[in-house]
Amino acid sequence: MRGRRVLLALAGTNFLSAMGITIVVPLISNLDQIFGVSQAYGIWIITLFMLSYAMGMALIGRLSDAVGRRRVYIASMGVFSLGLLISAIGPSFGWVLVGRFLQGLGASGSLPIAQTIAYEHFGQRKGLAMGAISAAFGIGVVAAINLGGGIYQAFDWRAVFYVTFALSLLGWALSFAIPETLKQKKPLSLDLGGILTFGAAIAAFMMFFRGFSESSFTNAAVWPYAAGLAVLVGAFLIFERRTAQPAIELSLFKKPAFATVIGAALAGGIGMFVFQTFLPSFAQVSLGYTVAQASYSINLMAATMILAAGATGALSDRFGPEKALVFSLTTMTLGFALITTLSQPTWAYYVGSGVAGAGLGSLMTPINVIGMREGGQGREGVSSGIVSLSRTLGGIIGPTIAGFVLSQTDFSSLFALDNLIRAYGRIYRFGMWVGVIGFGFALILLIRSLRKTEVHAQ
Amino acid sequence: MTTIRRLLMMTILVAAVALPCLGQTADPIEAVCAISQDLTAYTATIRMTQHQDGSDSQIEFTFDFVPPDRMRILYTAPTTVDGQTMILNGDKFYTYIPALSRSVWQDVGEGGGNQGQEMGFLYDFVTQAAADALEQSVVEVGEACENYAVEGTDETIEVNVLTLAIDDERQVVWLNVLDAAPVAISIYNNDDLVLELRVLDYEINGTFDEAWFVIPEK
Repeated sequence: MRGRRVLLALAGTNFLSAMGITIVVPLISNLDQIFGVSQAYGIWIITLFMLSYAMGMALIGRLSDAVGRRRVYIASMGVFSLGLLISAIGPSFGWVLVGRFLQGLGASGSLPIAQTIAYEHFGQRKGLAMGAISAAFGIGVVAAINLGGGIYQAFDWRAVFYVTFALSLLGWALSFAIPETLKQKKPLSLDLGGILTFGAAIAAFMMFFRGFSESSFTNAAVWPYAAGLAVLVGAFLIFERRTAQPAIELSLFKKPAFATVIGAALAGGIGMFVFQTFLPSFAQVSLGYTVAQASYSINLMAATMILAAGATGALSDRFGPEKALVFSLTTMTLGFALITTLSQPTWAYYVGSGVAGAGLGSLMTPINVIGMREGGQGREGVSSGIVSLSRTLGGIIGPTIAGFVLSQTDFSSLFALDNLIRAYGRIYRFGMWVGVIGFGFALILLIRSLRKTEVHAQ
Repeated sequence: MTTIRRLLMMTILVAAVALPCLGQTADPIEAVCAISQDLTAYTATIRMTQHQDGSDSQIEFTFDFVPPDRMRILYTAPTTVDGQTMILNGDKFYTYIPALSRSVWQDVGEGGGNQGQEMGFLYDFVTQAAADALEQSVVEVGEACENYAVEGTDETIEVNVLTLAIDDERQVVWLNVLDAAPVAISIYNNDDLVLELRVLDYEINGTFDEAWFVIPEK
């Protein structure tokens, strides 16, 4: 009974924090008109969220190992709600961005800590519990796209944030029902230098691609970001090597299986965020749907995503997470391939998104289980944080590159819309090839686990 | 005898290429140059098919042009682009894409872009630059066709056929014998058909409204 209540709280809070990530997705193609700012400035509504989300993930694992899972979880949900309130009542777009930064920071705590708590709390049934949390997260992602499109169509953008804020308060209340699972606290040592250089490097990466989409590499608005990125990555690595308790424990990457699952998480993250972020606008340009229709059109993907997330937990417990990961990345890649190769646009859209949904829904549980197992005992929080961070980094890298591809569309061409559809085709083919790389990583992990099983049997 | 015949044929070809627009109205090249030079307004319904990456895309739109640099394109088909609008007014270019409810404002001087130039010789024709385009190309005058079927109608007209070649690009242009206006253009790149343009109906030097070319404010 208590287990059910804990699972309900973890799943509920993840459902609500996932909503914060995608609630603004239906607004992306019209940011300039909705907020009265330029498209280039408007896109910071996504950029700042992802930036603080990634920075928060680098911080949260270490913090939860020191302060306790429950306290950090409750605080995260509180910060998330505060961010939504600021975005809703903010007098200017700048305040909306401040709110989005806090939302990202708050949301960053929910999934990795929930997965860690589930891993520590549910014993043999951890896969099932983690699958349920992933499913709830997936439902939140999709529900928000539906809700965001519908609320915006009926009211305005402020209403989108007000409704999410009201729901987040419920999530915050639920978070108090979560137990403390940390057995032994570690001394608190925040690697602020590492986190700040990490965040700045992500910002430089995004700014580089934004600038590159508008002018050439040699332009003064582009190359300093590339140089900055190189310097910041170097500074970050130095910080992490010198700090006793780094935000991202680089020594974990010396373990081949851990490094491989991080590769799979990164590839999966790119695929997941590229597919979800661009699907509604792809429906608009290729099928002629309105904003609201496009939001609702992703529901088939949502359904398969939720079913797969739930089923993969049990599959992972029974057959091992490696087989579940191979299934996930194969299906995701197939979905990308179908959406670009089927000749009839409506079939391509729905069959492709339905198949991809199954792959995306089944991704998180196996990568978290493998990551926490391979990270070693006592490092579950940090390992889970790095896995989630890698997935999120994929979520930054993928859409940034995809956005660059879209920005190259010539809107003065008589065939502008066709060119746009072709650009979406290139984006989905990019996702497919990233999926193939991820599949390679998953296959390595599977072969490794099968060999281990053989050795144990002998 | 053979040499004389060759010389005669070469002379005819050189005359066709190098001496356009010298006032002989029976020549299709001269006729199209003259009508282009005197153009004050052009309105047409156009169907265009693009062949790219193994797939075909077809669009239909009304096209209004007032030389030298005012243009309006209103898309009518297919349904995914119905309502799409492009307006050129001086160096300002505006695109509205209903599929995304998105408006794009561009400065022609800064951003480059196409702004109608994908229509090939038709764009040269409406911008009063037909003579320049012909001068810069290797031109071949084909045999006239008496029964050219106008697309989308049961009508047949008599047309002259010109082929313009520059580097790897070749344009086949069909001109209405009655007024020398282009009625169809096929554009080839290295012998691959990349674009087909068909003029479904048109009016030369008709009336126009200044309001057509007003670019909406941001």
